[in-house]
Amino acid sequence: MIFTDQFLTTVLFFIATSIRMAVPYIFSGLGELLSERAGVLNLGVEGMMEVGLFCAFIFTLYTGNPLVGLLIGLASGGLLGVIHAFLCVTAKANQAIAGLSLFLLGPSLTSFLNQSFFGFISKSISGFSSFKINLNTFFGPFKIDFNMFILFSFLLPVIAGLILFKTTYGLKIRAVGEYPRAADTMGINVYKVRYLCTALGGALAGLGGASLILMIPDQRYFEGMVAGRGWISIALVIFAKWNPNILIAGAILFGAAQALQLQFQIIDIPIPSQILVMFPFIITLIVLIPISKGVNRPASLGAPYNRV
Amino acid sequence: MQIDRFTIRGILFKSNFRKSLLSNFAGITVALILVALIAHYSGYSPLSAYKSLLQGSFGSLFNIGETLLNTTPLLIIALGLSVSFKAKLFNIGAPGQFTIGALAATLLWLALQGTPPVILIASMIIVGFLGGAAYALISVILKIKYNVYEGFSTVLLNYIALQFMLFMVQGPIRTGEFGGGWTAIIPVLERLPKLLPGTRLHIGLLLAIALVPLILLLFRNTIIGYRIRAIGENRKAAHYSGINVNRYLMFSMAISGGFAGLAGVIELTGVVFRLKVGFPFAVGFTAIIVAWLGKNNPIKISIASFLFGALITGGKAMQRSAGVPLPLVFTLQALILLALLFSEFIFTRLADKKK
Repeated sequence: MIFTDQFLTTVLFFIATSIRMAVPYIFSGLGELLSERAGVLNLGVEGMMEVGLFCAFIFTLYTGNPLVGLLIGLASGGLLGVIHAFLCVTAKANQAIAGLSLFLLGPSLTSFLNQSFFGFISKSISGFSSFKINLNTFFGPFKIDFNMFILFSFLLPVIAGLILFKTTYGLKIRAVGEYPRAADTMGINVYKVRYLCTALGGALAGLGGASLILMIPDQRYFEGMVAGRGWISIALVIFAKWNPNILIAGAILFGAAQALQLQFQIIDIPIPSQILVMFPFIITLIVLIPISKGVNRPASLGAPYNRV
Repeated sequence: MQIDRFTIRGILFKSNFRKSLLSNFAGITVALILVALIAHYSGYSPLSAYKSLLQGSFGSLFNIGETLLNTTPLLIIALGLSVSFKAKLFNIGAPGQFTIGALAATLLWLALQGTPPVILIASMIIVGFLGGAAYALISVILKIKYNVYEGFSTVLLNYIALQFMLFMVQGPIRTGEFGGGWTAIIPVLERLPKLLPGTRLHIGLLLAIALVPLILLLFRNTIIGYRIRAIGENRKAAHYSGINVNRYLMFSMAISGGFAGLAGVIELTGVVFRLKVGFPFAVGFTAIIVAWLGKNNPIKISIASFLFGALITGGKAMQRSAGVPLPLVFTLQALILLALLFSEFIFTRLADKKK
């Protein structure tokens, strides 16, 4: 009765969609996690995602190869990450403002380029090919897409967790994030570690943006596609207590929120679409409340380090 | 630190004022050059783009009026932001508070149909201020009670506010057919009175200008301002010296949000005259840049908001006449911020080298 075939496939569809929606969060969240573990706050994730998304879009469009788009997206995010690293580590500017300026730069630059070259036509590109499974759900037949890319994205946090907690590199990163002065006296180059982590963090954010359009074939690009995911990724890092393994769970949670929104839109529940769009943000806000107190953040997060 | 008066370095950096002036000038120039390059490689002529930008912002009385028109909300919001920034509260929620203020005023307007215009406008202004302040208070209360980073909660609330406004304007308070995205128009008598014939200028500009000495006085001459600054400098020390930190955090955030909401009402009753899908949400973000560039100083903020107001006005003209998409101007604004962050660093290093 309750556990009919249709019900189960509906649930399966929901789970699969949640996993798919979680992928951008995993990448961007991981990037932010890495950066923050080294002590650098990166508020520009949203902008880096936009740039990564746009670069992946145009390079895949023109070369037909999603891998190229992926790499360029990654590189563009990394470039912004390096800029952010310079501002935060060398110029010792206010990390929040530096990130914010990149957040403002990303959408405006990509918007401009998009409008200049494509006008207001949205084009679609083929992302990574995936195999489709047909499901007969409560609300009609749906297909879910599944491919290696999505699988890979889930592997990444596991690898990151191993590196962070089980290798000397990870130890160095964590040391720099907790007490850079001590790390410095132990011979760790604080600046280099922070640069690497921030740049890599930016690259991962770019990857997160690229994943939005490359995850499944025939994804249309439109302005504002990122829709706040960068900010939610930052919240995700706090939710995950800076632990990549918990990050996966959190990403799936936020992915589920988005999947729920999508599901409601499909099945025409009488909740207006704007309220549905609000949904992930409200959940993020609510989730932040219990976890922000007594949380073990990297102690030097947000503070510039002076070697003097 | 002694700088030999007659070396190049001495002349350039003799005073801090000179140093920051040069640094700002250099930064803006670099940003302008970068944007010119971007425009060029996108197929536009940078010269005609910049020409139409200048023309559009200063070319005629009407255009200057438009510039001042765009300056007004920037100035108001940025002044409010300077209050919260002084307390080291990172209020990135200006766009959301701006929108909520306008929304609250619209709701009041719909409810108070038929009241004499002066009372109507005055109460809309008050409600807009209160709405923005209340919305900002959410973030600061979350910070005080649950240690939620306000740089975050404010951003999330931005998106929530935007969606909520869109919902209201396409739903409960819309006029016209289903799916339209705007409310009824505010009739001429219930709008802000105009200032200068031949322009669209309204008295909101005077209000904005009046707020400048207000904030200046707040921080120079009042105890409240002193305490806010103390909290910003060193929160723990302020706490130990007996200042009720929480109360002043709430106060500064409320002012910040209130000003943003105020700007929302002013924009609503002075320029746009209806709440709609295209309500200028993004001006809140520009105001953050302005507040930062103005280093929380009301005079500098006035200059910066005028500059950025000119950019917005010129940018719209640039899009109309030279066909250059408006986002280029936003790119310019972001690049100005970035360039100034860079140049501040570079010039400080140059000035300090080899004492």
